Amino acid sequence: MRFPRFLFILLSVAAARAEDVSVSASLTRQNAAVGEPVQLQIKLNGSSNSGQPPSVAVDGLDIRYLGPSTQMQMENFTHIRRSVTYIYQVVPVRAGTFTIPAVLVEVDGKRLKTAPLTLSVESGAGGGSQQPLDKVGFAEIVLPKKTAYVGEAIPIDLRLNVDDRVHWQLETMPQFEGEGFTKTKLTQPRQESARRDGREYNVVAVHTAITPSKAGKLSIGPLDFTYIAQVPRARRKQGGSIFDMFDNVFNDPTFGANQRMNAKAAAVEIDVKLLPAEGRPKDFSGGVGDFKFTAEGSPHEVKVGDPVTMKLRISGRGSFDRVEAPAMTDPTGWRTYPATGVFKAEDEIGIAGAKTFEVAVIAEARKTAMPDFAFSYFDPASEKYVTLRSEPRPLTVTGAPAPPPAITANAPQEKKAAPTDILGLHYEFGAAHSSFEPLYARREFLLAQLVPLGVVLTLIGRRVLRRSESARAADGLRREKAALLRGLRAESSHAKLFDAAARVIQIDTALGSDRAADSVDAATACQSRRLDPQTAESVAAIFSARAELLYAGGGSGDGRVSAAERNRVIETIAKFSSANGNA
Amino acid sequence: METRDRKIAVTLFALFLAVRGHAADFEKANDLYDAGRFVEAKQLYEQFVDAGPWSANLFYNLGNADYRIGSPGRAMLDYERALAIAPEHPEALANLKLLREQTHASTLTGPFFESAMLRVREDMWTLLSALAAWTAAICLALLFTRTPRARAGLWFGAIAGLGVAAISVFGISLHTRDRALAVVTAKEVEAHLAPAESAGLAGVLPAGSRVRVLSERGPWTYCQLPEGRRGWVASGAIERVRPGITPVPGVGGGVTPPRTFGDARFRTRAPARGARL
Repeated sequence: MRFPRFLFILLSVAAARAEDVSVSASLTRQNAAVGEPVQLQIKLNGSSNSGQPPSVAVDGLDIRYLGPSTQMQMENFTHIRRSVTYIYQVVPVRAGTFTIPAVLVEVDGKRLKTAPLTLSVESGAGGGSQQPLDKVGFAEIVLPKKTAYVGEAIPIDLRLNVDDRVHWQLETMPQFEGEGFTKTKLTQPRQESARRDGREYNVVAVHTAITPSKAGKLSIGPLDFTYIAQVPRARRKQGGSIFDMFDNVFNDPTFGANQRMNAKAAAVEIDVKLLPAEGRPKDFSGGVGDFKFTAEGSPHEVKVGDPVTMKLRISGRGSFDRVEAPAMTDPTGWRTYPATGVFKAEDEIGIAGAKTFEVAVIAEARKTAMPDFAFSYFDPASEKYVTLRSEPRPLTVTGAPAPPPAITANAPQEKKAAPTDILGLHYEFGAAHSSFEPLYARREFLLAQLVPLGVVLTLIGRRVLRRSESARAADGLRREKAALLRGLRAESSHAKLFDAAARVIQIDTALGSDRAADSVDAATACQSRRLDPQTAESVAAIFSARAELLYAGGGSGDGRVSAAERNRVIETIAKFSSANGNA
Repeated sequence: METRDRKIAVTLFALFLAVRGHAADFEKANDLYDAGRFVEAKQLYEQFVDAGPWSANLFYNLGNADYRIGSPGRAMLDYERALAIAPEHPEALANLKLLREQTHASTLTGPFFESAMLRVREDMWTLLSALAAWTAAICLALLFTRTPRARAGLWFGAIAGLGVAAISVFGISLHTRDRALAVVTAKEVEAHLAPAESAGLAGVLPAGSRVRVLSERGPWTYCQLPEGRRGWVASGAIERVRPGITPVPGVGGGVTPPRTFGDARFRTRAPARGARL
């Protein structure tokens, strides 16, 4: 049974050799984007000739021969049809419509031509890359900010992005130069993945940091990455035919061609500003960034003259190369020695970490606390200077302080150390003073007080004298009044009765006021007291009767005073005396 | 009579010569200073201080000489003395401020109104208090002698006079308290919690720092220190601004310091011119 089948196949092959040979060309796609590979296939039907493939060249298309593909196909179980396919990768270099001309193929002595093909190429690739074909990868310089300050450490990323479908390897590290800044050493390349514009990239990133040394516009870059790329031949086809299987094998990137490629990153600019002069602390040494400051000292108990080692630690992120040892805020009573600093980086580019200074301080006198240190830096985020102070730490210093150094008469070093000088002499002696004794303790001042004292005493004395004279006059009037009252009770003469009565009223009125007794008349007497109308009338009648009897002689009648009339007069005087004064 | 007139003439001529000699010696001290012979100038100025009379300018120039020979503490003491005589002496104020910055000297601070009242000289407060008190007394005396119409004005004068007198007395009391003021003349002095070298520290005072003397015990002086602290300071390290004044009990501790100026003489010399000082 096996023999007849083998014979049949041999007969079929012989028949195939006798059939016609044809050639055809085709593109896997008629539309593509710049950089997007398209496959060109030139197929020889009825021939197994796999000799020299024809060369194809078109301006604007990068056409590379990838290899042959041979197929056999049985037709009607009578013969086998053989064909050979030459496969090319066509990568458009630029946009446009390209015509792949007719390709001349020589098969078994016959010269056959393919039909021309047309390929339309668009500028925007379907994968989203906007890089030209020779930039299967692209490079870039990434800055975290566009403005900075002189002395500020700025991290920079140098990135090479390559299409993830391409196998590649970095050949040389990028180099970039520039003026107006210093840079740290580049780190080792680090691989990572990134998606940009809908496309996946393999990324090699190199980090460094620059520190501007002058103000103005700084240009960083350009820089070149060189890498070896294995360009893929074509896309894998989706299908289940045996031809597709072979196609996929040949389209595998591992079968691609190695190419040396170059990616150039454009220069970037950064605006550098000067550090503000306003508010700059005296101890500012140039550190720019964000820092923390701690200070610790040991031992905590020393004798006068023994050293205390202070560890001053500045940590954070910034330009540590400009950070100097913090200054002691009050060096009085301390002797210090130059500090030594050690920087320990916490990142690859040396802008994060901690710088620790060790400084030996010696207490020249008894102290109760560690010395206070201050560290100043410029914070670019807040755009202000910041001064950090160490927290007070206890310290016990025992022993006697060293005697102060003797100062010689000339002491030139102290004069030179003074930032400014004192004002000069006064050449006039000025107002002389003989004592710091207060004025009130001096004899002359005390003697001077006698003058106002005399004035006050004089005023008081005059008042006392005046009061005594008035008292004597009043006593006399009282005595006169008493005598008159005694005489009234026995008086029988009208004239004498009313004269005495009026005099008593005058004296009463004078004693109640500062008037003279002789100047008091009836109206004045009545006004000086609150009298009922009858008493007032009686007072007026007394004064009237006295005037009439004394000056008009009206009292010359019988001259005798009745007891009733005397009593009325005495009663009026009594009422007048007991009445309240108006004044 | 003729002999008496001759004596008066001789005395006046001697006084004239003394004044002329005084001025000439002061100029000589200034010349020494200008020539850079600060030690000799200082010695001559100190002779003036010992002999008297003094002036704010004399203490100011002495302070300059002390500063030039490297004694900032003594220089600041001299400037303080110049200001005790003339509180507004501009050069003394400026130099004292400069030296305080250089030495980081600490000062006693009080409320603002105290500082303002201390800017008025004690003599001015004394005159004002006397004037106000006597005005009040005279008004009160007149109240008993005048007519009722003038009494309102007299009462006002009496009350106002008593008020001004009270304020003036308060100003005098502030100056009285400051009579116990002393200045650290050593480069630096430690204040202890007790009058012993081994006692704990109450503070460290740089040269020129102000303290207020409270009492004395042997070689130690109990002082009010800046920032409200108190401590014992070696007596030789401080010197009073106004020597020869007995502090008021309760304010200065009732201590009568020696009555002469000078470094070594301060503690040892007997009061030679007690009435003057």
